[in-house]
Amino acid sequence: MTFMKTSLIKLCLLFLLIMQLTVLNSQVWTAGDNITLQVSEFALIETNHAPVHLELSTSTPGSAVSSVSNSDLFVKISSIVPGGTDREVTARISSGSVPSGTTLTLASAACTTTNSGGALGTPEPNPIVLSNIDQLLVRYIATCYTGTGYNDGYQMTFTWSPLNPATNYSQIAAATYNITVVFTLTAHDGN
Amino acid sequence: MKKILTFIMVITTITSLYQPAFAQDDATANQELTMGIPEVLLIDAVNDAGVVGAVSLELTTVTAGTAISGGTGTSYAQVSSIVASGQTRTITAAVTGVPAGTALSVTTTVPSNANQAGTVGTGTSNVPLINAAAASTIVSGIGSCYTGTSSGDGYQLDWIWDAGAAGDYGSIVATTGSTATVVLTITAGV
Repeated sequence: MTFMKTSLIKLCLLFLLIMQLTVLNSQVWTAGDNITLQVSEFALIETNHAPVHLELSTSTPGSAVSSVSNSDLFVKISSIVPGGTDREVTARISSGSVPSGTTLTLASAACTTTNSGGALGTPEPNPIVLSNIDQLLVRYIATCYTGTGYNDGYQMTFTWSPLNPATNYSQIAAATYNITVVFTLTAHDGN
Repeated sequence: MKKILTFIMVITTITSLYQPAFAQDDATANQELTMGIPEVLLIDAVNDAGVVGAVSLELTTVTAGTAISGGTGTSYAQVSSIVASGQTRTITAAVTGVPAGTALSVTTTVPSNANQAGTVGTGTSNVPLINAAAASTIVSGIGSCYTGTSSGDGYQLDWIWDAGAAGDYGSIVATTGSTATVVLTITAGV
């Protein structure tokens, strides 16, 4: 009997609580929620894969072979960096080597403007002499994109010349040489 | 509760490991270059003024009783050469039109001035050039080189024209404007 009495009291209290909640629920309440917006940093780089063919030759008896240039290659990037940081584009020879008696240089133009946006950086003012060590081509690249067209991005000019011909010319040998240049978009400098 | 805490800690650890690895990645792109140096063999003959033209030679004498002599002149062979690794070339000379009873020879001096560079080879002295005979080698051991294109640049060819063998002296006749043609050839690399 005592048990039934206690249960009855509990039931009454529960009923009162439900009633109270119903009353509360009829009022207007606002609720907040956290929405997280995230932009991950990323770095993507690709070339237009233009065939780059260079040939040293001359057609004048008595003259040295002439320098030759090729500007068919464009490098495209997409970059997002944390605030206040930037990246660089570097280049080096990853396979093959520049033939004896010659030198191969590379210069980057400023990024094309047609389909690009953002902080596209600044090309180095002087061409680099390509070697198997990474060298800076473009500095101060932050958040940007270059466009994806065949002629979008940083136009690269390769120049191949006899190296100090007065002393090295006899080292030049007729042949075909294949070289692979690797372009790197570095991690941002905030790392 | 303990399981939930453990789960959260595992997720947090994986996330914190993943983020720095992503941030440190460089991105790269490869580009192949094809670089060709074809063989080059170009030769040109110029006179001492540096232009294409005949070299005038004259045989005569002013001393009674002596044979005619003194037909000398100079021209230059200007060359551009690129050889394959380990190859060398030669320059040969062949002649037609040398007047009967006379003899033509040539001394070749390799270039050494500031306008040339590379492996210019070795010259020769007093190589006789016989009418319609097989070509004679006048320079050997040419590698990759260039001689320059100005007047006085190139292999110096000193021509010597004299009376031939004594037995042939009787066949010499006076002539003016007779032309002998020397063909200079730079050979393919061997």
